[in-house]
Amino acid sequence: MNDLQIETHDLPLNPADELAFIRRIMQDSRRTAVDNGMNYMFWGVWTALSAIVSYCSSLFHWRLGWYLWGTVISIGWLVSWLLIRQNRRRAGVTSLAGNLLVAVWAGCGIASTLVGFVGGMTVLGNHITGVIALITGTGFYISGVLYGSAWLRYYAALGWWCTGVLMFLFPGTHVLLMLAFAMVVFQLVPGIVLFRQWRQEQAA
Amino acid sequence: MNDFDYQQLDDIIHSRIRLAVMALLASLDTAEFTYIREKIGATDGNLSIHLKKLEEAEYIAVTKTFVDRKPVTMYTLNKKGRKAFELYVERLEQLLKQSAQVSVKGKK
Repeated sequence: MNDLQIETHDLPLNPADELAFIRRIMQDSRRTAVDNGMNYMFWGVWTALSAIVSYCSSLFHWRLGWYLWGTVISIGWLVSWLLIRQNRRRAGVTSLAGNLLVAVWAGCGIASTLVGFVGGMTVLGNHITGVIALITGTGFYISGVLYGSAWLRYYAALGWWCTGVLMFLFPGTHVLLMLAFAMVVFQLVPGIVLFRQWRQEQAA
Repeated sequence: MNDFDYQQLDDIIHSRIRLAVMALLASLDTAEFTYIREKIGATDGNLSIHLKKLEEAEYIAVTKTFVDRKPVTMYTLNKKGRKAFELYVERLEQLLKQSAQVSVKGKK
């Protein structure tokens, strides 16, 4: 039996049934095109670990500095691109919402990378993580709208924005630990929830 | 009573499989042949015939590529197809309203 339980012969229907049929197909295909959350989980774990290593580097004077974040971001971009490509191939579809999600996060990623490297060398100094937290919160807010998910907008976006404010109010090396915490709670957790939703929809 | 007049609807879209394909593509940018087949549950041959009809009407566009050396056929809704689909849905909504008005008058 097919996913949509479509009768393969042409049955005369009334307009209400026909419209309901169209709506059902469109809703179903929109759900399929939604992201599987892998990128959120990857960045959550990857950045949290990197932030902890960066904190330890600062604490024990390991002098990893820019090499660490340069490697982390380069590998991160590459893995992200591979995950997006794999997801699209597996799904066999592309959608406007899916393309917008990729564009939103690519934009946030580029802005965060510039803030991290260029901003860090110039005026931002210790406030890099605060600005990145605000950018990430904005990314989650827009993603929440695209997913049609209120919890993503209010839980993840607000979480990131509050973390950003706290980072500005209490600057210091410990903001790296705050970043690691936020990456787990507001990045990894939403990723796990999205992944579970995606799996449920695949199984349905 | 059924006030549904089929003659007011686009013949090309007014088939269960073609309507399903159009609705599917209207909510997506592109979709693979296998994805459409799995979603609709039509056989390869049957679906190909319906897709060909939509393609001939210039409602959908076909792109053939290779992914990992395997041939992949992608379908996209054209501007003409999107317009026709929107018109089709609009007509259905009009018919629904008309039929509701007729039933209200009938009760009076």
